[in-house]
Parts: sequence; C-alpha cells; structure tokens
Amino acid sequence: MIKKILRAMGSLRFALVIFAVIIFVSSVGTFIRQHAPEEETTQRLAEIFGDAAPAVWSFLDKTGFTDLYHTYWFNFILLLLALNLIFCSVEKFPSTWKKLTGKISTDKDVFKPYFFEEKEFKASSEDVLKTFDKVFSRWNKIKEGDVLAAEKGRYGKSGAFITHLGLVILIAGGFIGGIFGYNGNIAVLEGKMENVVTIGKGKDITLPFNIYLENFETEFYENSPKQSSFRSKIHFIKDNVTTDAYVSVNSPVKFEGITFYQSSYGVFPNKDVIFKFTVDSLISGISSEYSMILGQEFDIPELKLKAKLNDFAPALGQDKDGNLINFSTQLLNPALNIVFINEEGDSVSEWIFMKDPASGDFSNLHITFNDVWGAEYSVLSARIDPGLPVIYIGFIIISIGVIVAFYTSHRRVWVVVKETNGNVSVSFFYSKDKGRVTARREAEKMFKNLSASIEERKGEK
Amino acid sequence: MSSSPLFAAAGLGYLLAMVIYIAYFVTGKDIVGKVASSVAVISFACHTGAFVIRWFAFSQLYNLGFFQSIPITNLYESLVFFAWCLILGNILVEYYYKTKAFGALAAMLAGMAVAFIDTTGMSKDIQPILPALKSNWLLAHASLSFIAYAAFAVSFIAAILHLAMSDRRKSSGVYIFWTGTLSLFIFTMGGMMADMLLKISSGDREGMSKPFSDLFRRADSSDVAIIIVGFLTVWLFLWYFGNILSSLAEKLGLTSELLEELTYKAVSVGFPVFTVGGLIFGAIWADKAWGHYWSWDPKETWSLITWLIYAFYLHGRYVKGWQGRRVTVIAVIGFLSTIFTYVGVNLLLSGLHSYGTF
Repeated sequence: MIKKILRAMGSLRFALVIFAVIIFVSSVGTFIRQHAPEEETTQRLAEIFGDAAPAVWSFLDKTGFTDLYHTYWFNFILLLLALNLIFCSVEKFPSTWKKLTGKISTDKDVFKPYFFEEKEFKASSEDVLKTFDKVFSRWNKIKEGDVLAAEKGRYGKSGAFITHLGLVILIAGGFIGGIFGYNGNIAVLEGKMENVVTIGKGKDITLPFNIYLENFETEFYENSPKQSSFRSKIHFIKDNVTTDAYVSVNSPVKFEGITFYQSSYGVFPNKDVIFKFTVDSLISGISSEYSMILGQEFDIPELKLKAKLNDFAPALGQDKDGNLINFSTQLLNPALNIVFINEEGDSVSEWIFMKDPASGDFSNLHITFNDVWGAEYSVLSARIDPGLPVIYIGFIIISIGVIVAFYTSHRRVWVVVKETNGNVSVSFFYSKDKGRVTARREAEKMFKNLSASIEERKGEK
Repeated sequence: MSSSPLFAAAGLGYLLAMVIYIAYFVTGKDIVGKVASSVAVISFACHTGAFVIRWFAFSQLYNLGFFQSIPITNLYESLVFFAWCLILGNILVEYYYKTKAFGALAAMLAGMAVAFIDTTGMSKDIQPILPALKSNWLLAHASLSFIAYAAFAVSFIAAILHLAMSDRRKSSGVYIFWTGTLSLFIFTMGGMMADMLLKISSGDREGMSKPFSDLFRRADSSDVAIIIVGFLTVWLFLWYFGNILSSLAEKLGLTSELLEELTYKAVSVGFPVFTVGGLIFGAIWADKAWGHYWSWDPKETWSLITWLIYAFYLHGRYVKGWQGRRVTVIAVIGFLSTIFTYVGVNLLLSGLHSYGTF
C-alpha cells in the first residue's frame, strides 16, 4: 500500500498534475498585486465585483492570494514537486544506472527494429571487424562473432536524472533560505542613522550596528534626463568604529555577514534640507561656499546685495507655454530660487539649475548650485541567506543536467555480418534516442562511410 | 561608421530572399533554391555586421564595457535581434533538415521586422541604458533569453503547421484552436506595429519603444469592444482561409512527422538555453544586483510558467497516447506564454523588470 502511494507520488502523471497546478496558481498571483495595501486592491476589485469587493478582498486575504507565494499551501505544492522528483529519481535510479554501466546490448530483439540497410561486399568478416574497430572507439562483439555493436553518448541517459537532482537541491536551498534567513528593507535619510530592518508585515529586525547615509549620489548621462548611475555612500557604525562603503545597483556590500543592496530611493522634502552652492565674485575673484536651509540669507558685500534662499524645486521644467513647472518629486532637474535685494529694496528672483551652470551666470558674479543634502533617502535591502550556496550548487547541477539531457544523444550501431563463399553481407542497424528524421540521415552517412572503408581496405590488400 | 546602410541592405536582402524562395516553390528548380538560400545568408552576414557595429557604437558612446553594451535593451533592438535569431534558426533548419520550406516565412518575418524598424528611423536612435542594466550579466541573460524565444518561435511555426495538417475540418477543435492562436499572434503583432506607427506620426519617440503604453491606461469599454471585434475578424478570416496554409505546407513537401519532430527539436534546443540563460542567469543577476535570486515578480513568475509549460510538453511526450497532436497543442500554448512573458507582462503587470521595456 505504502509502496503504491510512493509510486503514485513519483509518477509522471502526478508530475504533470503538479505542473498544471503551479502554472495555474502562480499565474493567478501575477494578476493580483502581491502584498499591496488593502485599499488599492479593493478599489481594483470594485471595478469587477462592485459592492462585493470588500468581501472578495477578505476572501483573497484569508486564503493567502494577496501574498500567494509565501503561503504555506503554495510552499506545500512546491514541496510536493520536490517529493515527486525525489521518488521519481529513486525509482528510476536502478534502470538509469544499468543504462549507464551495462554492456552494449547485442541482443537481436533489441536492435531488430532499427534495421537500416543490407549490402554485400567482396571482403572477409575479418575486414569488416577491422574497419569497425577503426571507425568506432567503444564497441562490443558477441562470441559467435556475427554481431558487432558500438555506441556513443551513453552518458546522455543521465541528463534527466541530473536535472531532477539539481531541482531538488534548488528547492531545498530555497526552503533553507526561507526558514533560516531573511530579506528586508532599511530606509535611511541623508544625514540620518538607522538600524531597523523591516521584513514584510509588521516584522522588524534590529541590526547590531547602525547605518548612516552620508550622501545619495546620482549621475546622469550627458544632455539627458536619464540616470547613468546612483549609489549610497554609507557608514556602518558599530561600537564607535566606522566603516565606509558605497552601495549601488549591481554592486552590493557585505558587513557582519549581512549583505546590503541598493533597492530604491526617493525624495523626502523636509525643513532641514541643506543646499550647497558656491558664489564666485568676478570682481574680486573671491569664491565663497555656502550650506544653507531655505529662508536663510547671505550678503554679497562687493555688489551691496542681500540674497535669500527663497524656494526649491526638485524637477523644474517648462510646460508647452513656457511656464516653469515642477514635473516630478524625484531630483531630476533640481533648481534653487534666490531672491536678490539691493540697497534700495528692489528685488529680483532667479532660478539656478544644478544641471545648467549657465543659469548661474550674472554680470558680476557666478553662482554654482552644487548639492541638495538631507532630502534624499535610500532604501537598502538587507539579507542573510544560508541557503545561497545550496542554491548555486543547484544552479550548476541543473545547467549540466539540461545540457546533457538535450544536447547529447545516445547513438547505437549494430552490424550483423554473414560470410558466404568469399563475400560478406553486412546488415546495418542504427538507433538514436532523439530525432527520427535526422537519425535517418546520420545512418545513411555512417553506413556510406563504413562501406567506403570496407571497400578501401579491400583495395589496400 | 554607421550601421544603418548594412542594416537597410539586410532588410532588403531578406525581402529579396523571400521573393526568390517563393519563386523556388513555384518553379521547383534547385538552382533557384540555392540562390534564395545564398541571398538569405549574405543578408544575414550584413545583419550580423550591422549588429556588431552598433554594439561597438553603443559601447563607445556611453563608455560601457563590451559585455555591458550588447544592443538588446529596448523593444527595437530586441526585435532586430529576434529577426537575426530567426534567420539563424532557418539556416540551421535548412542545413539539418534539408528543407527550404520555412525560408520564405522566416525571410518575410525578418525582412518585415528589419524594414519596419529601418523606415521608422528607430535604428538611428541610440538610447542610454538604465543603471540597473549595467552588468556583464546583461549579455548572458538577455541574449540567451532571446535565442530561446526565437527557438520557441520556430517551434510555434512548426507546431501550427503540424496542427493545420492534422485536421482540416473547420468544425474540429484542433482547427479552431490553431486558427485562434495564430490570429491572436498576428493580431497582437499587427497591433503593436500599428501602435508604433501612430506614435511615430505623432512624434512620440519615447513612447515608440513602449507599445500599447497608453492604450491600457486609457482604454474604455468601446476600445475594448473594438479590440475584441478586431481580433474576431482576424480569426474569422483565418478560420475561413486556414486550409490554404495546410495545402501550401503539403505542397512544400512538409510531412506531419517532420513538423512534429521539428517542433520537438526547436523546443529541446530552446529549453536548456531558456533554463540556463533565462532563468538561472537571470536569478544569478537578480541575486547580485538586488539581493534576491527569486522574488516572484510577474516577469519571473511568467518565465517560470513558460518553463513549466514546456516542461509539461517535454514530459507529456512520454505519456502513452499523448504523442502527436495532443502535445503539439501544449507547445503552441507554451509560445503564447512566451509572448506574454516577453511583451504582455510589461504592459499589463508591474514589477522589477518594468524599468526597461523588456
């Protein structure tokens, strides 16, 4: 009874059923936004279900469809897939092993169906044997001497087994990481310190050290609003010891066993944002650097001007009519508004763009807008995953497995030699486990070669 | 040096090859067939040259490493690469299966794609890539994914022809299925091109590489009705004239056996590439860049679904009584899923991969 169940669990049909279930369930998951806020999903559902939307949402939430891939039942299905692979591998192992290590079969019943062609030669069976030995490296002969068998690519038979093994290891690695590791986010504002990692709903982990974001840096392609790179300059602070590091996409940083990745970023407008700019006087040649918050004033004594940081826009652009508008909350085209006031009390307001130095050109001075600091935040993801080495082993094994399984084929050749008064008749049998149409052509070619070699040998004598 | 002249030559060459392939089918003369193949191969060489030049241009313009600048980071570039893979696939099929039956079709698809892109002027734009794509894994992951997609496309063509030849009764389920899926494919591709042309005429260069980007946001019920009616019209048309395709396939000397094997061969060439290049390399890249090898983002999930459908197909062949038509149907569904992974996910669902167009 148990044996029967195990066999059913490892069967091909069960595998197909699991495939179908995973295909269906995981596709459903892509159409419902995962771990999205309740209001958002309910709003979307209302378009289809109308007033019943809250009820549908609570059903989806309770059954786990709003966080489908992390539910117990979804992981249970994956576990079933792993079990299916294990049982199937265990059951198939003896026959696979036999295929890999057994002798080349010379049983007539085995090769009979692969008959290809028969031809007579003016040669001896000795000639055929010698030729056969020359053409094929791995071959076998039965005692009576009339059947010769050769083969190539037998190891290809192990491809499916290797692939399945790799998949089992991969799933195991996934479970190890899911149980013993974590993956969460930590958001830090420029100039602030943080040590709490948020993992999913209401779960927090406090790191044994602090992360201080010194600066979030963005670079742009020339003459383009498109970013070429962005990175966070951070300090890890533990027991008053500071370690500097840069984190950017595609280049994470590891500290105390935890790996930090650049996940996302944004702008958080607040009253403490500091603007850094340089004022160059073209009269005296003096250059002064300033770091100020909005509303602060400074003097330009040579020109007898007072200046005030009046306003800031993170992404200032022009609309169709040429009016200035702010088009994004990201720092795409930061601009600083400075109001200059002369002794008479007349004022003039100017926008200075960080990306357009010419906007800071005035008759007797030049202002360079260098940096906005304390407005940007960076979200880093923090991870510990003890399953990772297992995952990579799985990757390697699967890669080897599929390549062996699909890009090699097991080819077998049998030749039956019958000697009759000075002539030999040679029957040729050819089998390839993949591709009938190409097998025929290969057999043709091989038989032609073999015939040619036999005849050549005869000529040599 | 600009890649454009070579590129235009490749496009024209493919269209010329298509005409000669058709002449070969009509006359049946071997020499004509050889000329057709040669023209296709020469155009392919031009195409390859244009691709390499663009690769270098990209690398120099943005000071990127060689491996980080393979030009397949937006819709236009991936279409060009796709056409390239398709012709390569056809050259291999001609070599291994000694049939030129697919030449006209492959040359037509590639020629249309290349000529379309060339006339719209998209080939002259070189857009900078996003920071997230700056990685050596781009080459390995993206190029192998597209090679797998192209192999699946070949299997789709063979599978459709196999189904078309297997049952010609217009009331049969198989007939309705293959005309339906083929019209869905044609309708989607046609719609994408129409959308691009509309955007070009309105000067929306940014939107050009984001097909349907407005449609789904703004579509009201009347738009949806137009889409459905349009699709049904294409289907009805194909349903009515569908047997022309199967007669043509027969005339070209294609047999059910060959088509079935070709379907399987194309899938079995594409499947390992997809497993290693698409899924595993993708996972490694995600692991290196974002810190999770698998996050169930919609694109990842759909590529897993595609992988499972093809796994289903490959295993289904070993089930008694499933050989032939039944499993071929699964190969067709697999390609629909491939297209959805390639285009649909970015349009309809949001996730990590939404940074680039693809």
